[in-house]
Amino acid sequence: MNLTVVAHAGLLGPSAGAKAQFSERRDLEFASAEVTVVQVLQKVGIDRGSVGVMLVKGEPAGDEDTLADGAQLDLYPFFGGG
Amino acid sequence: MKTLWPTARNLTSILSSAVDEQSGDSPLTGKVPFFGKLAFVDLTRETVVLRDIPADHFRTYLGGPGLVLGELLRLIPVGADPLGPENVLAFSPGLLAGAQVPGFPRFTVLALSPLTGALGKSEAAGYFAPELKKAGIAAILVQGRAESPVYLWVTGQGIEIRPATHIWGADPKVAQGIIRAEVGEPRARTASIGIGGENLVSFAGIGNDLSHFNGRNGLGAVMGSKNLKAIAARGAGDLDVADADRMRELYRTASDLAKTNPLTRTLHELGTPAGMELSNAAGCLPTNNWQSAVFADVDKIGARRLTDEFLVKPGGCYMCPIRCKRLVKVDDPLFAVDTEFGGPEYETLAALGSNCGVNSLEVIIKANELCNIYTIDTISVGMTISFAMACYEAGLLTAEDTAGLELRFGNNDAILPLIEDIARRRGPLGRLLADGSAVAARRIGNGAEQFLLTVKDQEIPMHDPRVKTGLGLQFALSPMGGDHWFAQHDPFFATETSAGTVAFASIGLDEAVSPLDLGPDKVRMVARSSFLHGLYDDLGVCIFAAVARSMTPLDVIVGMVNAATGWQASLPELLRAGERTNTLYRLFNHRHGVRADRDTLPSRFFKPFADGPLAGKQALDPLEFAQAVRLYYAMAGWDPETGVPTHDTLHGLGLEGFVDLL
Repeated sequence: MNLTVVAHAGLLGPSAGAKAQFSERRDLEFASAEVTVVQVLQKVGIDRGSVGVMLVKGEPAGDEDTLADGAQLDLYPFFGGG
Repeated sequence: MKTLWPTARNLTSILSSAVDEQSGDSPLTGKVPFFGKLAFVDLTRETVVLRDIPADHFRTYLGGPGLVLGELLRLIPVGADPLGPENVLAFSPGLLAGAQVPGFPRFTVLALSPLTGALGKSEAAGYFAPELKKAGIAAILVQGRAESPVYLWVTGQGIEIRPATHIWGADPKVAQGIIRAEVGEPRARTASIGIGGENLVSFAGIGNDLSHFNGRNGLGAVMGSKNLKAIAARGAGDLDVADADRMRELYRTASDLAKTNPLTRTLHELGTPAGMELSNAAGCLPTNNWQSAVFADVDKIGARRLTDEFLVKPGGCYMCPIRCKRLVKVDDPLFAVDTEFGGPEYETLAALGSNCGVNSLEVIIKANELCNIYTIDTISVGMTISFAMACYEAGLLTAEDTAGLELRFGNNDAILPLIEDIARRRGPLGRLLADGSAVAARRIGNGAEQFLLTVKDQEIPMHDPRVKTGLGLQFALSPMGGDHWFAQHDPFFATETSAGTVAFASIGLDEAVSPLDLGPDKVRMVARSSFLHGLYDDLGVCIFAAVARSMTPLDVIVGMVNAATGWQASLPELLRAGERTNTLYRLFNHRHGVRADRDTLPSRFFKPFADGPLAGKQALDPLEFAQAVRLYYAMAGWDPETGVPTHDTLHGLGLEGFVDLL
């Protein structure tokens, strides 16, 4: 199955050689038919402790929620204070 | 209490010998002693006293608020008018300000607050505090009231009171230019007020180097009430630290960490404005006076657009590589700004943007510049305007009250003229709002209080306690009213790998606590980290340079303290000093009649979110919240019902000299 991760506000560094963007996009391919949010984080190398908000179609997602083929997971770092 | 310094009883006699004492000092040349002197400035008598501070006093109280709170407790009389000559205004750099390490640029300004009637306390960074320290000054206490406007000129030779009638009314940039020319020192650093402080606006702040602000609690109005336009300072040399080699080593350690810490890197890349998109995505962005939690136009006023279209370059503070400040320009001549006055932080973007329904980033950037020129606090300004908008939409304010201004959410055109009116106390609306939203609500009546979002009469910052319960406890318990840096924020402890859980294991905060938990684990996090923040302020630590928000870990901070001072202090000893400071805050408020019934939250947070992804959820439980407040008292060693520090606690902290104030 295929998924897209969009990491916002510096949560994921730019791809090699690219300029840093506010939102970094990664297209991922998984061998299994069912993937949880936490497994996606592991695959892109983002520490769960640095993630504040996880959204699928604009709705909050939990660690163990499963994602459908073609889904997009939006990730924001937690906001400790301005 | 040991009588180390002048007390209210003997101050007069000491001040009368001021000139002799000051002229007796030998000039500072080359290296400046790390431990500076305490300056007493009496503007009524036009006198200055510089006094030595015993070494053990520094070790007990460090610097910043801790160093001067004992004096303020004794010198400010009960029942004092915050804008009267009897109030005392303290400028107190953190202990490490001026040392050549990144992340310690801060100083605290303290006085009785005209906004809250409680302890006024506000930090600013920049370059001013290091300059004061390099002039040999540990802190300045200002009392009395000058007959006509003055400024202070601080050098290694002492402090001079100079006339400022010709710069009264001038904006801070003009005033800074004239002062630098007069003293013949183009590199003098100035902290000054704009017309907001001169006009005694209750939420006027103090700006240094034009773009760093002691924004909160109305301390600029206290400065204005004393006819004190500015303090200018120029150091005499570098601070003479105990172990310069070790300091250089620790400088490299912190600087290297700044390059790799992901939170620090984000601060460098995006500054604080990224909070706009993050909070909106989380469904907790203050919108329309907090009646809503999502803002449809967030992309128009967020970090992405600010960075892409308006950012000139990042700005920063003394010795700091992070450079989290956003210096901006606007091409549209209608909203053109002077880059030197800085760009909007997250708090400003939210307070004057989504919170007022404003979707023009140009308007917010211009509003930020105006507030900085007039030195009025952008949080309180935005929140006071949004409060008035809510009243207008509910029919509690009419077109007659607003002199025809359509004061509706989303009216971009209302913001800039209203800021002008508030800073000048001009027109019916400007006069109504210049004393803050709580006073305005009392004047409007008819239930206007329902739209207030204040704690101890200070407008709250842009963080929703319904997604971070510990933040709610901070709002309620902060001695200065609604404040968001009294302790650490909940998300730092959300998981076992979160930044705070990792960084604060050494102070017993190594277990994950849900941001929504309001039980003993959460209260312990707030209590211990509030002691830590007392320590941070005493040392001059910038929140954006130290754990958990950023790079410098606690053991490195302790190492810096010891390398600078020659002490062999441990983390528990320093944390104890932070706890001491926190209890002195509480004593100050107790002495001035601020009681436990003011340790509350606005009623809004005991109701669920109205819209967005969290609609219908996450109301705080009032009983559970009150119980958590009482548990905090107990953990701080205060009476669990009244919140007053106990005799035992004062003795345990070495504050037995203050027992008579209970």
